[in-house]
Amino acid sequence: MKHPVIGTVKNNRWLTPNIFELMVAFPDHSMEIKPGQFVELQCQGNHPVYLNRPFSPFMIRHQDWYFLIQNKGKGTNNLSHLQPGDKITMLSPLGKPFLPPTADNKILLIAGGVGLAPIYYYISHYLPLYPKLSITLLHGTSFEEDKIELPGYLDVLQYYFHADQSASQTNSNLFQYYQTLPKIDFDTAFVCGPLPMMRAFSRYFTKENRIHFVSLEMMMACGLGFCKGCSISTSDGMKSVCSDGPVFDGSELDWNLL
Amino acid sequence: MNQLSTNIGSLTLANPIVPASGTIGYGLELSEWMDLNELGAILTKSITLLPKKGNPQPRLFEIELGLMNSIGLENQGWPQFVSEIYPFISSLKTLKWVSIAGSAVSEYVELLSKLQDFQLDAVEINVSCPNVKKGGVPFCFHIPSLKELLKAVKKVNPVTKIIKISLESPPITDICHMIEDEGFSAVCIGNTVRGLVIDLEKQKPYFSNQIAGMSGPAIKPIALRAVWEVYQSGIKIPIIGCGGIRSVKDVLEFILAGATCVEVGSANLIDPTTMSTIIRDLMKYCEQNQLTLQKLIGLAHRKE
Repeated sequence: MKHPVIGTVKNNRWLTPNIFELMVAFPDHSMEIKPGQFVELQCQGNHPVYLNRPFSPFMIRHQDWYFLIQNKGKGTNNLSHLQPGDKITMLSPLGKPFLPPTADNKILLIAGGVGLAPIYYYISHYLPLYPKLSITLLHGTSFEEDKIELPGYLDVLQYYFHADQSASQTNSNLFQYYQTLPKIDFDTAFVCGPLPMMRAFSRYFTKENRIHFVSLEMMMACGLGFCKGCSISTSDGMKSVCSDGPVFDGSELDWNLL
Repeated sequence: MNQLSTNIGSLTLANPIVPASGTIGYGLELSEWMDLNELGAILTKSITLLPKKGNPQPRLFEIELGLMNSIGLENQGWPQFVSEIYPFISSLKTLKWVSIAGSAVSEYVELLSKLQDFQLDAVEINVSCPNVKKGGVPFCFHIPSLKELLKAVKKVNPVTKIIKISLESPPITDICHMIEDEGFSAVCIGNTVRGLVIDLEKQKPYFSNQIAGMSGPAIKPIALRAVWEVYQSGIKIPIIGCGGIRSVKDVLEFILAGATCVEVGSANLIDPTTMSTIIRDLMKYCEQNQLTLQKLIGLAHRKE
C-alpha cells in the first residue's frame, strides 16, 4: 500500500532569478520513481494553498530528492520560502513513466525551461544502467539567465542550449533552432516543456513518422486519477493527464484541442 | 454491532465514512492507498447511460480553502459500468453504492432499471444535473421537475435509494420532506455550491460553462447549517452530510448536527489516506469516550 511520506528540507537555493532548487530528504529508502513519473508536494508555508502541487524530480541521490521549480504562483512561492528543517508531505510515485530505453538506443531529449527536470532525471537514471546509450539533449529557455548548469554527464551528452525570448503561444523558438542544427540521428525522442514547444516538435515528428513521447502539464486537483480535472481528448478517447499520462505518445494527441 | 456502526434504511454501515461521488473515480486508484473495505460503503463516480466527454478545459480553479470544478460528469457510460466498474466494486466486501446522473427523467429510469441485474446495496441519485427538457435548470432547483423525477424513479428497482440534493435547493427542508414523503431511504445534503470566477485577462468567465461547483472546507459551514435545519425540521429518514469534511472533528460536527453518516469529498484529492485516518480517529474517539456513534446523531439539538 502506498502512503504519504514526510520529508525534511535540506537546502533551498535560487539557481536563476526565476528558478529554485529544492532539496528534500525522505527517510524511506525503498521509494522508487521512474523518469517521467511525478509526485505531489504539500507544504504549510505562510499562505497555505488547498491543493498539492505536482513536480517531477530533477535528481535523486540516495535519500535526497532535488526539485527544479519555477516561481509561478502562490504554491511555488510557498515552496520557495521553505527553510532547512521544514517538513513537506509527498505522494509518490504518480503517473506513467517514459518508455525505458534498450541498451544501445539513440535518444533525443528536448526540454523547455523547468521541463528539464524529468529530462535530466531520465539521463541520470538510465545512463548508469545503460552506459552505451547515445543521448542528445536540447534545452531551451526564454532568457539566457535561466540556463541551468547540468549537475553531471555533460561529457557524455551531445548538448545544445538555446535562449530566445521570442516564443509565443503559436511559435516555438526551440523548434526553429532545432531545424538549424545538423541532422540528429535518434530512435526515440522525449519532449517536456511549454505546450507550444511540444506541439511544434510533436507535429513535426508525427509527420516524419518518428517515435516520440511528450510529458504534458495540466492543472491537477489530485494527481491520482480520482477527479477527471486534468482530462484531455485523444485519438483513444478522454484521458487523464495524471494517471493515463503525463507521458503520452505524441502522435496520439489531438494538438488542435490542447 | 460495533461502536461506529450506523444505519441507512435497511443497510448497516460498519462506520459512517463514505467517499463523495466523483472524488475517488470508481475506487481502483484509491485502492493503492487504502483498503477500501475499511469504508462504510464505496460510492462510485456518477454514471450516465451514454458516455460523456465532460466539459472542456479549464475544469479546475483553486480557491481559499477549496476548489471549484466544472468536470461535467465525464464518464464512459453504461458499458464501462458493466465491463469495469461493477466487476471491481463487486470484489469488495464493503457496501456497494453507485451514483447515477441523467439529463432526462427517462435516463434515470432506464439506468435504475438496468441496475436491477446487479447486486448493489444502494443507488445515490444525483439530482443536481441539468434537466435538458427544462432548458438545463437542475432538477433540484425546480420543484415540479424534481417531483416528476422522484415519482418516476421510486417505482423502479427495489434497491435502497438515496437522493443527493444541492445545498442551494429552494427551501431545502421542504425538498427533504418531499423526498421522505415519496418513500426514499435517505437524503444526501449536499452537492457542490455554485460559484463563478472571472478571468481578468480575458474579462470573461473563467469556466466555459460560466458557473462551476465549489467544494472543500470553504463550504463546510453551509453544509452543516443545511444538515442542522433539515434535522431540526423533524425529518425521519437518515441525512448523509457532505461538504468540506477533512477530519474527525468535522465528522463529529455533522453527526451532532443530525447526520447519520457523511461523505468525504475533496479531502481525498489532497490526501488519499484521509478517510482511513478519519475512521481510525473516530474509533479512538468513541473508545476514549465510551460511546457509540448512534448516540451522537443530532445530539447538538438537545434543549437543556
